[in-house]
Amino acid sequence: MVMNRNSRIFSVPEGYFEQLQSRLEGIPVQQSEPADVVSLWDKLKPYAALAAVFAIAFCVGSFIFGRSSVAVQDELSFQDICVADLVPVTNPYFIYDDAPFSYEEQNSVTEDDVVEYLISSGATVDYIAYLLNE
Amino acid sequence: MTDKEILELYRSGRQQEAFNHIVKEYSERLYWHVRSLVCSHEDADDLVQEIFIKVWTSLPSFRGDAKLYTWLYRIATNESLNFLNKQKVRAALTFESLSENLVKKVEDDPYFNGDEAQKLLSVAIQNLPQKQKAVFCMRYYQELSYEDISEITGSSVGALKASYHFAYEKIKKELQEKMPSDF
Repeated sequence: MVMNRNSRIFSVPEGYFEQLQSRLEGIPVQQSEPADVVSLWDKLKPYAALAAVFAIAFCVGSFIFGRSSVAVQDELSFQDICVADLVPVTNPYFIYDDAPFSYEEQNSVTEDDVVEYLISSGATVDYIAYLLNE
Repeated sequence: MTDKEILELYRSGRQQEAFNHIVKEYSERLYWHVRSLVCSHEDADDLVQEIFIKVWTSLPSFRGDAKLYTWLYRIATNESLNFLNKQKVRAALTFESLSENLVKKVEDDPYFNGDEAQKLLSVAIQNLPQKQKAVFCMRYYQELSYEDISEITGSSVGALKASYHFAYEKIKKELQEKMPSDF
């Protein structure tokens, strides 16, 4: 029994040192036991979990951003309509139609148009012929 | 069995037998050393287990430059101070004070059988800075020589004497404040 000043003021449960000694003597056996075999899946599990988290985050992110860009497109087309209503044009396709629009082509006046106009306005045939020959 | 005989036994290949001799010779002494530093029986019990695991795993690298006895005390002291440092960090995270926790452990300890003065002394020791506490406990409780403490801590004998003196003065002052009639 080791007697020192400690053992006069502190105590231990009865039979503690015998029990401690036998417990400590078991350390070499415990330490020499092979560690639990860790399977490959157990080793990879944390990495797989991390990859899954990234994949989910990517999918959720692309879904959210995809939706918001569609919403922006819808907003723009609505804006186009608003602008179209403000512009005083007789041909709404001028604004709505995405195809290249030739104003001149749509509004060019042909000779036939002129003749037709003159006839309807009561001009004589001689006068019309005179104008066409000029 | 002497330390030299234990080491010879170990080197002859009978490692487990040598280890059992170390346990037989030193487990109780190291327990009391650890207990004086950490106060609680439960903490000391856990630490002694960890210390002997470390002893078993480090024995192959023990070259015998130091005495086996001081080597064991060095492991025990370092492990105890590491434990106290961890407790200090934990206490800081919960806005508590380590010395207050240790004082509470002394006061609530069911295995403390000293009188009121010894309780105050234990509390005063727990309020010392950790290295001073280690030196004071090794000198006062374990009654180790300054030369052995010097080998354990790596400090010079002069520094240890100064450290012990400062610790003694702090404890004396604290006890004077708490028990003015006895001084």
